[in-house]
Amino acid sequence: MSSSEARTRPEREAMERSPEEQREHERRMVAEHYQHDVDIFSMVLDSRLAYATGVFHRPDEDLETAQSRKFARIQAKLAIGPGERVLDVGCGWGSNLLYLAEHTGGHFHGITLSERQRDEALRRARAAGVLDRVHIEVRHVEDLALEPASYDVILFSGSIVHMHNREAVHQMVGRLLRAGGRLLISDCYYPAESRGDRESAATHYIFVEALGYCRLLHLGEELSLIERAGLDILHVEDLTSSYVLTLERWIDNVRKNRRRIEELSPGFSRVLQQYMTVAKLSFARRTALEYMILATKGRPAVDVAAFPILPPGYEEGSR
Amino acid sequence: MRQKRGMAPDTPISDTLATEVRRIFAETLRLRIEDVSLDARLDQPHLGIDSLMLIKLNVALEEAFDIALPDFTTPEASTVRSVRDVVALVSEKVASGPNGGAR
Repeated sequence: MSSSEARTRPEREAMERSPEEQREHERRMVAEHYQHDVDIFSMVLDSRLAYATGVFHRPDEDLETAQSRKFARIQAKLAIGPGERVLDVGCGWGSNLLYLAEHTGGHFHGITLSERQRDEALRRARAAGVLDRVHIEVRHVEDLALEPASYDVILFSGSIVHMHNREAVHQMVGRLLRAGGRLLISDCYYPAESRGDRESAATHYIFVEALGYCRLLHLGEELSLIERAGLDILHVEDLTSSYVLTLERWIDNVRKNRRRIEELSPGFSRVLQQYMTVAKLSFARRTALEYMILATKGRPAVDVAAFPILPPGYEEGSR
Repeated sequence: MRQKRGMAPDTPISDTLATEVRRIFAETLRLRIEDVSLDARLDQPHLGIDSLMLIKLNVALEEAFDIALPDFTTPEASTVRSVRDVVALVSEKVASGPNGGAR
């Protein structure tokens, strides 16, 4: 594990801060992006406001289709039973949390660094009639003081990238999950070989100016931290090409709504289009990679061998 | 009105548009407009354009002219090498109507 090796300037700066200072830094800098008017994100994202990659089967599909498929896939991977407790770290405007609340009988705890995200997620929970099973609050992940074995599922979708202190985060996940508990992460990673310019102005722009703080690990480093927290890796899938398409859809939505976005938040349409374009080019060139990871604490609740991965035209029983 | 070599003869490029494109280059790159000649190449060292600058130019031009442009850094836009090429591309997109060329 080489978590002590910094790959970017923001990462080096973070390492010079104490854990407490870094926590405050994330609290302040990361929240900023997500504190923009939810109406802006409504013009750019899908109807549930998922701010992470969708799952595209074909390049001509629309964003709504790809995000619906992603929600359904996450539901299948997590197999949340009635009464099971779910923690969504970085729940945003509640996209995954509320989809899962509407489609399973679980109980949900969401945390975010943005008051506006919390307010919108709660408003949507009320509208969906699931507020009785949903608790959402503004809190940093490292400030969660909970009993061990408090959750059956812990979810990070497009959020763990903002967390510098990954070892502590994974140790906490290992502690908070019950036996049979599941961890799901959907986020971006660097390839292990040094590919692309990680010290470029473009990298700094996206990691700091646009998004406050980002730390991309190598996939192997994240998996190793998960394993060392006592979990077993069940399934990893590459969603890099889906993320390129997702970013293209978002960029086109920024273009279509540029004037209205500028009315709500002058200068923000540029920030969105610029950082999304940097990201799109990085994922298209595979200098950054997008993965969805599923891990289990103890015996798996879901049988990944039964996931339908089949060639076209395959029929069960044929040889 | 002048015409750019290689472009369809019925696509005139106005001096106003060329000046506006140069102004946006100068503003984005923090140069004086005099330093952004039409013949300047995007990869010319004195312009100091890195990939982020190219993206910022893309976005600033889209915003100013209400058009959609291909990314200057992708093969799709490999014919865009000089400021003059950018002017021609913008002119072509503007001619194809509001939000012209939007995919």
